[in-house]
Formats: sequence, structure tokens, C-alpha cells
Amino acid sequence: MKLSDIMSNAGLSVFAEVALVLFVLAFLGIIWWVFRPGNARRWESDAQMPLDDLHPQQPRQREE
Amino acid sequence: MADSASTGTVQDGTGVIMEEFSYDDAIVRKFLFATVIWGTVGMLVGLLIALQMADPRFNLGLSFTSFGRLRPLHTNAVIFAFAGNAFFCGAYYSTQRLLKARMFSDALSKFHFWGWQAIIVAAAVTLPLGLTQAKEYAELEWPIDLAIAVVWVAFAINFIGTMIRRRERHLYVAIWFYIASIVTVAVLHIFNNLSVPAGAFKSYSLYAGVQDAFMQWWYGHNAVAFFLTTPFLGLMYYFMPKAAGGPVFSYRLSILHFWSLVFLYIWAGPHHLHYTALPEWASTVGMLFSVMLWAPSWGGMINGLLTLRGAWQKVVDDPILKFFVVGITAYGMSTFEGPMLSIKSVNALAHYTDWIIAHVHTGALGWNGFMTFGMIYWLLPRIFQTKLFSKKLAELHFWIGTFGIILYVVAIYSAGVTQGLMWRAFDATGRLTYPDFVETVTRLIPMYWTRVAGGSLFIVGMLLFSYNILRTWQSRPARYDVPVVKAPRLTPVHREDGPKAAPIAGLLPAAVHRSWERKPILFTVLTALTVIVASLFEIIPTFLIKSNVPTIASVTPYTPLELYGRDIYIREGCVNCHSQMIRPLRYETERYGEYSKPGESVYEHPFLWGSRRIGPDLAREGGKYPNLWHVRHFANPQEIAANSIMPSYPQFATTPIPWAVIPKRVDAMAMLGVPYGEAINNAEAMARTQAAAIAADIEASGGPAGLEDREIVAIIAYMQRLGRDISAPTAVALVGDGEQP
Amino acid sequence: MSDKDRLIEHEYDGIQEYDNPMPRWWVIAFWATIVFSVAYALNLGGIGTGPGRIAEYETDMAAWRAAYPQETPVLSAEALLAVAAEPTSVAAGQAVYEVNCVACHAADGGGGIGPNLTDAFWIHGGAITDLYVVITEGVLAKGMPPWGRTLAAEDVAAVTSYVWSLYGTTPAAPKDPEGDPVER
Repeated sequence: MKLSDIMSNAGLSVFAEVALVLFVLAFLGIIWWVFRPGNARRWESDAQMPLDDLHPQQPRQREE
Repeated sequence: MADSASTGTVQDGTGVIMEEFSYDDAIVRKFLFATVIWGTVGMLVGLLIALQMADPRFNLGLSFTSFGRLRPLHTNAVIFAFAGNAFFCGAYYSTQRLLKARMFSDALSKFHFWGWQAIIVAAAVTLPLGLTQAKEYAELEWPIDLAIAVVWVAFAINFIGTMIRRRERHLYVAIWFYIASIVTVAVLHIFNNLSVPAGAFKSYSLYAGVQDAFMQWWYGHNAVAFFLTTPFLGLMYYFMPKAAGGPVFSYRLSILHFWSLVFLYIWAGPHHLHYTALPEWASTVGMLFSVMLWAPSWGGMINGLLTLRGAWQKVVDDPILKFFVVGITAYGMSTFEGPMLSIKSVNALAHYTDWIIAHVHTGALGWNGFMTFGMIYWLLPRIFQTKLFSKKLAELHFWIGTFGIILYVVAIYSAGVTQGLMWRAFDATGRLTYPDFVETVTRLIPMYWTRVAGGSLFIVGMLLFSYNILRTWQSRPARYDVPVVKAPRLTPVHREDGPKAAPIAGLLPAAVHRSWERKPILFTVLTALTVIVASLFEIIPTFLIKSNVPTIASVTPYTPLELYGRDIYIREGCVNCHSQMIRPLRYETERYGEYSKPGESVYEHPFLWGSRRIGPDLAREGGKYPNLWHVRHFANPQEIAANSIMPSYPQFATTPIPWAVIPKRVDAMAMLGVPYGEAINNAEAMARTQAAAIAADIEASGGPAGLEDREIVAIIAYMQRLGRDISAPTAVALVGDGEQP
Repeated sequence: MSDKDRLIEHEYDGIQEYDNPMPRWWVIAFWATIVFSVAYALNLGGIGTGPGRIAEYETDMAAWRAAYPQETPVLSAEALLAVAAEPTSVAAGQAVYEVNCVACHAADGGGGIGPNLTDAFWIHGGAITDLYVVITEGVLAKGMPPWGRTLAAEDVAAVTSYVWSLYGTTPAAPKDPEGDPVER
């Protein structure tokens, strides 16, 4: 039996449409997350990360 | 640099536990040398094949230095050896610093390094020997593919392990680009290379025809995306702020840039197959996602260039920034051109021409090359702990390299457009203006010489670069200083987490602790899912063979001799210069005959549609010329067409056919579902009968005698079969000389 | 330490890195490509795949065939012999021959891959009309291309007249006779 026959009979095409919907939702979610005002400070400090090789910008715990 | 006086784990005044560690820069140095050495080798091979196109005598008359075998060596060397090692070099340097952690395992780092170099050596040996899968950028045969998978997994484990052990709470965007690259390349590599072995270094793709073409360009396009684009964007987002001395223009944009690429790139592959037998809906999807890629890509370019805001005066006397500026600009140019070329009507002109080669070299020389040069010039004083030997030489390298790129790219653009227009030109009587293909090649020769000049300049720059590196390395200290870095230990809580977060680390349940550690894994899994699901969305429908590949009753499998002839075609890399895919466009069908149908490729494991017409299309070559014509033409193409640039293959008439391998090849094909029937038990006898018939015809028409056990009859059998099934009144018999003219 | 200094300097400058807006033209381009893609996918406003590549090809071919009926005119023996009597058309035919025919029939017509054109033996008939038909339509089974598809009608007649003129010349390396003798 050829691979293409197996694939033909598996009835998988519905997953394609499901995937497209999930994709659009996920991408919209990311855009929302990126532009959420609450995250602005996070981006600010993350952007500094390459500039200091020695000191973490966001250590996992830090008393401020 | 660091406060190397402190020792051991200490607590500072606020009770924060500090850990001490150091970065592994030895591995960075190793990858740096590999980048430069393989880069030089790969570019020199490129120069040789550029010379071969300007004058076929540069094929040197040897089978393993002919264009068809060296072209894959050039592409593999610059992609996987030069750009690959450059990515690893920069990634090992930046990852450790961005995560504030040494690599997870030094042993895995070394294994990655030596394993990768061994793979490159294996490629450099097997490709000139003609051991190839005939799929672009996936030429390497199955044992090497397995080795690539193992080494890549080792790299992935090392990388993810480092992320888990990190001391930086957030993952910087460069790390995201690295993860996406690592995950996606693994997925692409594994799925595109699935094949059935037919010997130690011979295999047939699991997929056939339309499906194989689809898989290949899903792979091929994303190899460009996730091996040459996203890794280097990661490098850009680290090294550009470093060199510019300030954070990236917009971090927000860099995140959008990342997710746009991950979401969009994976769909764009079918734009490599416009107007082919690929279903039109797939072609349209490929085009539209490519068009939508333009703005996010330019967002990345703007982000990179504007990182220099307020620091433009630095560019004047900093060769590193100059390399970055031109590199990022080249990224912008090729990511504008890419979407443009993916538009069907533009693609109709550009496809199969040098325009694509010019496009690729804007990216490879400009983006990958210059980003690598800038990065390495920046790294040199830091990892060799000395001064750069000569900034002036670096400046000279920049100017020579830039001039070389311009010369190369302008010449090859004009070659591409010229040839594309000549192919489609009709005269006043409604006939092709240039019916003789060679005419459209002869016109390009001056541009090919210009390319040789441009490429040579780029290589001169590369040599200056190597010399500068060598001299810098010579002035390294007797012992490298290994600075001790201190950073707070990994604990689960962060103030920003709000009231839920417990202030004292020790009181937290272990599950919360682990959830932080799992985050990079979760991220990796999500990226992988994005890529895989997107791929499935595109790929699954093409495997629904009934709607997408209408079967043609008269199409039958190749005879055993033709199959072996096809293997010779694959071995010699003929597919690098000859397409076998006539598009439904008037100037194509007038020149080559009826356009290619999806159903004609159903037994093509792998597909041999090709992507470039350095020579004419061969999809309907069968029966076009007598057998004797092929004998003479393979022995010396210039005797038939004086201006042809095809290498000669006199060895076909002297190399004996290894009859014993033919049944193995037929068996492997039968395993893939090709209906060979009787031929499985009888392959060798059938092949010998057909070979004798062709040899007799050659002798009868005035050619040499005694060719019945030589490779020439196998390749002629294959040539004479090409494209004939569709017009066959009944199924072509497996045996016999019925299809011989 | 220099990296740290720069970091502090940046914080001190109070540069607002993260609210840098994207250039307006970029934002417009971003949305424009998405709008274009949706319109294209739905075949709106004259963009899109339309009837599809195969239908477009067939329309194009039909229009082209109507504009340029490619049949090479059927010429009588008298007409062809009249052309062959013109030295200018024989010369023009020689130019066509040198570009297209020498690879298989040799520069002096002595043959090689294809048959000798100078002797009295012909595989597909030796009358001037036979030559004309073979050159125009080719002989697919023998690998002779149909030149009527690529050469203009007057070029086919000219090259026929040139081949006609080769009769009886003595080539350097004549191929053995093939076919049947035809008296002229």
C-alpha cells in the first residue's frame, strides 16, 4: 500500500481547518500579549540583556 | 573583567545566594576557525563552478570535478559549513551570556563540534563521488543524514539543558530565534530525508513526484528560513546592540518579528513550484504567505538598522558596524525581493533563471557573509583577549567584499532577466525568436565572467579576513584568562509575580519551582507545535492523491535499465542544470512540448523537476534525437553545439554497468509501492535485453560497437523514455525496444 | 565593566526604548499585504487566480493559434525548383543549414548522426517535395526535428534548396548510403 493511499484514507483534512483557526487565535493572542501595557517594563529590561555579560537583568529572585 | 577574587558560593547582604561560574569560550574559538576554513573552501568551490559556467573547460575533464557534482558541494559547504559554523560560533558565545550560565555539557559541545566537522568532511568526500539524493540542500545520503540527526539532537539537548540551568529569568529574543531554528531544522531534516536505502550510499525518497516536490520545497525554503535567516536574526539581536552600544530599537517589534516569521515562513515553500504540476491552491498559499512576510521581515531590518539611532557617526570608523549595516540592508533587499519573486507573474519570468541565483547571493554574501564577518571581527579581541591585528585590513575587507557583492549580483541579475526574456520572446511570425537554447546561454557568457570577477573579489576579502584572524590569534596571551562570573542562584520567585509569589524561596512547593524550569521546554514544545501543525496543514492535502494528482493510465514505471540510467542522471547531478518540468506557458510548450502533468511523476522517487535551466528542459527529451546523437553528445557536447557549456561525459562509453545492483534498485523501488510486477524477479535479464537492443541500434546507425554493457546505453535508455508515456497509445511494455526510435 | 557603564548611561539618559513607534509607511505596508492576500485568495477586485493557470494557458494558446496559423505552406515541385534556381535563396539556405543542420549532417552534407545528403540514396524519398516535407515535419522516429515549428516558411524553402544543391558533391567523410537510390 502506498503512503499516499494511507494518507488518503485517514481523513485528516479536517485537522487542516482546525489548525488554521488555532493559528489565527494564537497569533492574535501573541499580538495582544506583546502590546499589553503591563508588559512594557518587561520588554524594557529584557532589551538590556545583551548589554551585560556579567549581571542578570532579570535574576530569578531579586529583592528590590 | 569579573571579580575573580571571590571564591565559592556566597550570600550577599540581602541573603541572595550567588553562584560562581565561567563561560566556555574555547568552543567559540573552535567554531570560529571552522567557519573561516570551511567558508574559504566553500567559496573557492563556488569560484570554480562559476568558471565552469563561463568556460566548460574548467570542468577539468574529471567526473568528480564536473559542475553537476560540485554545485551541491558549493551549496552545502556555504550553507551548512560556513553559515552553520558561524551560527554555532555566535550562538555558543551569546547563549551562555544571555542565560548567565555555562553550556550544559562541555562534552556535548565538543561532540557537536567534532561531529559537525566530520559530517562536513563526509559531504566533501561523498558529493564529488556522485553520492547524492538529488534534492537541493538535502543531497547528502542516508548514513550522513542519520549522523546529522544525532549531532543536531546533541546540540539541542545541550542548548535546552543550558536554558534550564539559566540564571536569567527571561529568555532574550535571540534565544527564541535560536530555539526556533534548532527545532525547525530538526523537523525539516527528518521529514524531507525519509527514504528507502538501496545500498550503503544510495536511497530513494519515500515520496514521489508532486509530493516529493512539495516536501522538498517545504524543506528547501525553510532551510533558507531556519538555517540562514532566523539563526542570523538571533545573532543580529545580540551582536548589533553589542556593537552599537545600546539596546535594540524596539524590543516589542523584535518579538512580533519572531512570531510573524515562525507563523508565516513555514507556509511559503510552494512559491518555488509556481506553474509546475503542484496543485494551484498550494501555489497560491505559498505566494500569499510570502507576500505577507515582507512587512515583518522589513520590521526586522528597521529594528536592526535603527538600533544605531544616535550612533550613526560610529559607523564611519567602525568596520564592524559597516559590515552589520550592509548585512542588514542585504537582508532587507532579499526579503523584499523574495515576496516579489513569489508573485506568480514575476516568478514566471524569474523561475529557472539566474535571477534566483542573484537573489540567493544577495542573501548569502550580503546577509550571512557580512553578518558573520562583523560578528567575528567583534568577537576576535574578546575571545582571543588581545587587540585586533589590523582595523585597516578589516576596512579593506569591507570595501572589497561590498564591491564584490555588487559586481556579482548586478551581473547575475542581468543574466537572469536577459535569459528569461529571451526564452519568452516571439518574433513577428509567431515563432520563438531564439528557438536554439544555446543562443540564450551564449548571450550570458560576459555576465558569467563578471560574476567570476565579483566572486573573486569577495574571496580576496575572505583571505584578508583569514590573515587578520591568524595574526590576531598569534598575539593571544599564553594562557587565556577565564573570568569568574557571579550571579544569583536559580530560585523560583520574582517580585513582579505579585501577591501569589512567596517572598522566601525555601517555602515554595517544589512544583512551582519546576514550573519555571519547564518554561523553556514549554516554549520549545510550542514552537515545534507551531511549525509541525503549519506543515501538516499544507502537506496533508497534497497527500490526498486522488484530488491532487489525477492518474494517467499510460504512465508506467521505468524499466530496470532506465532506472539505472536515471541513477546515473542523479549521480552526475544533471538535475542541477536541467529541469524536467514544462510549465503551462506558451513559450514553454512551444519550445519543449506539452506541459508536464502531475500524473506523469507518480513513480519519480525522488522527483527530478529541477530548479534551474542552465541547459534546456528534458521533460520531453525522449525520442527527440536518435540514440547515436546522444552517444556523440555525451562524449563531446561541443561537437554537436559549438557554444554549449555542458561538461563532457566520455566515461559513459567506457564504464561498465554493474548489473548486480540493478535488481537491488528495482527492489527498493518496489518497496516504495512502484508496481514492478514481473520485473522484480527478472530485472537483470530485462536490463541486458534492452541494453543489447540500444547498442545494436547505435551500431547500425554508424556508431561504435560493443556498448551493450556500458553506462551510455543505460542513460540513453532513460533519456529516450523521458516524457513519452503521456502520448503512448497503450502502456509501454517493460521489456523490449518498442519505445526506441 | 564598559558594558555596565553604557547600561547605566542609558538609564541615566532616560531614553524611551520601548515605545518607539514603527514608521507609518511600514504599518500601512503590513496591513496592505494582508488585505491584498485576502483579496487574492477570494479573487476579489480582479486580482487572484482567476480561471486558473491551465484555463489561462488554453485561452492564450487559442488566441495565438488564431493569430498565427503555423502551417508551413504546401509548395509544389515547380515552386520549390524555382526557389532552388535562385542563387540568393541557396545562399540563405546555406546560412540556415550551418546554424541548424551541421551537428547531424556535417558541414559538407556528408552525414554523421543523420544520413548523407550528397548521394543518390534517400530514406524518405528524393524528390524536392519529399525533402521539403521531411524538413518541415521532421521524422520523429529517427530524431529529425520538425523545423517548420521553429524556422520561418521562407527559411524552410531556402534550406531545402540548399540541400537540393548538395547532390553530387563530394564530402570529406561520406556516410554509407542509407535508403533507396533515386534518380534525379
